[in-house]
Amino acid sequence: MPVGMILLLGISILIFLGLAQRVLDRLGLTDRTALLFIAAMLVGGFLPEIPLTGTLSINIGGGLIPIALVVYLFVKAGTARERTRAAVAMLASAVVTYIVLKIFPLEPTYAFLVDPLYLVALIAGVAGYLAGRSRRSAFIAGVGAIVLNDIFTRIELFARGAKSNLVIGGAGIFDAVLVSGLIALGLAELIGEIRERLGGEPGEGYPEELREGLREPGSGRHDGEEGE
Amino acid sequence: MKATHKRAVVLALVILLGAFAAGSKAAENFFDLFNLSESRDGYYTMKDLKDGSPVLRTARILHPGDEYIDEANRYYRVVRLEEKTAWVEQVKSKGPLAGEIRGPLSTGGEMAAAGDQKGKPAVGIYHTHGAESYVPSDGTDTIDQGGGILQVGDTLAKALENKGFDVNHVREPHTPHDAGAYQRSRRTAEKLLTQGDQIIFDMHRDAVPPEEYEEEVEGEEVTKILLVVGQQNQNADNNRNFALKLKEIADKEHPGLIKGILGAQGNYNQDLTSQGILLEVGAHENEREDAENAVALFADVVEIYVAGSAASPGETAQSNRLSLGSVLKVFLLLAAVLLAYLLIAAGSLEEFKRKISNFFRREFADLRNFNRRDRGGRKDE
Repeated sequence: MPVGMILLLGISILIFLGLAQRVLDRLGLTDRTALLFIAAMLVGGFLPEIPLTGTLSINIGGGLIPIALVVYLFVKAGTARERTRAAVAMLASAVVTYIVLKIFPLEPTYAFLVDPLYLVALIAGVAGYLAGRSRRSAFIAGVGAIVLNDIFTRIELFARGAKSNLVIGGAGIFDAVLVSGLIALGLAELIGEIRERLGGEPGEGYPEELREGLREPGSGRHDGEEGE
Repeated sequence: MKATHKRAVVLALVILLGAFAAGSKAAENFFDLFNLSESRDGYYTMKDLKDGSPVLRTARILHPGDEYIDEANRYYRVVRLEEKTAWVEQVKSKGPLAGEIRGPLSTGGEMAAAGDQKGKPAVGIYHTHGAESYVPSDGTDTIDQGGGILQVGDTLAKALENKGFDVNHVREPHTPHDAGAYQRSRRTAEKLLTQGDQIIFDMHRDAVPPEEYEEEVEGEEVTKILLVVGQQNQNADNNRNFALKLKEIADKEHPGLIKGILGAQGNYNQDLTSQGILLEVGAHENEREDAENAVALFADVVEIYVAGSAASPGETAQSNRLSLGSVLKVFLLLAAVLLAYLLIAAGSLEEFKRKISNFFRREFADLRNFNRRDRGGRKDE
């Protein structure tokens, strides 16, 4: 069972059991929307790729749907500031990832449990969270970093006069696009929980809406319903 | 940093990238600076801790815990690193070594029968570093458009097709030649698997002095082939068994052809399948023609492997089985991460207990009510 499959199954189980409620709330997604997106990714991976140019195409499950989810999350972002942060996070992690992949050795034989597949996700997750400070931004950064990286390498190849075919998200649910987005989200949730646990709830000076959103699910409005 | 500042930084980065794309010579130099090829990194030498004798030279970066099974089936493990020297210790194998394998193997008779067999599995060949080439034959060690390794792939594909295999050879170079290549070639590997390929080879060449790979097999100049198995995935045991079986067949049919099996850290897209390995066919300073001779002989090995699989399907099924231990490890890791997360989210052990018991009380309330209703003759309705 490759990593993309394990992650999606794990997340589906969490959503079904209602354990991912808070993360989804913060993403602005309902259980149903989240499961719908997951189903679309699973099915979309088996559909034919959509050609964009002669050498560039996009996979539906591994490219189009994750990008659609990113756009959806971006549009649903609470404030203009969050949108800017998410965009900055995406660009920052894309640039950092691009440079790191150039500096790191060619072969994925690194000293610790970090394969390029996870390394990119970790960089995008950390950069996404640091720049974006939200789960939403982390996911946007994770997915965006890989897609932008694909675009950067196209530019690089163009500059070098080389040619190569590329399918964005071509490995469907096993692709780095999705794996990176999900790991970034999980990482942001973990770091976020620790930071918020250490820092306590947001106090005075924070918008009431934000404080409300961060309260225990079930203590105020009914969880999962307000996302739509 | 203010939002306007951030926008300015982002804009600057975009302009910078655009400028590099535009000035092609400057861009080429810049990217060349970044592209650390293996040869520039130098190579690692494995040495026996007992007597300092050399065991292997490879451009792959080695780490303590890496495993190597040499040509004579001696099993080594890296215990210490000193710069580019990896000190190894000979250890007992943790799995079956070549002599003990009960896998799909066959005699020459079965091999002849295999030629008539229909329904051979489809074989996929791809190149994560398709720019790799052989200096004496190709003039340089890297060709962005696709190096000599693609021709070596063509030779293997042709040899297998002549034996009746359905072969999908993807000549995509997955350039640029950087650490992101595996992420790009993952898409190719996944595509090959979706098409129904059951055996997958990712073909590379090493970057060590040519003597390391030079060999003569049955009077023919060849380069040796190193089989590389990634140890960082749940299919590691299966792929290792696959490599061991190929080596045992090669040791009988074409002694000297297989250099050894390197169990390195990394994934190499081998998490996607249980019959997928990476081949290092010679090194950059070997003749490409020798590498082509080697893979032509390797095609015999694959044919016998498949014939053996058909002769003892039970054994193959066993080798394709998902390793229970590996899956358990993944689940335990997931459970541990989840537990740690829930503990952090709860803040304290008491709160954690309260939440868990609340959760079960709440989530399974309907189930209990349903049972009660059932027993009570649906009183509630």
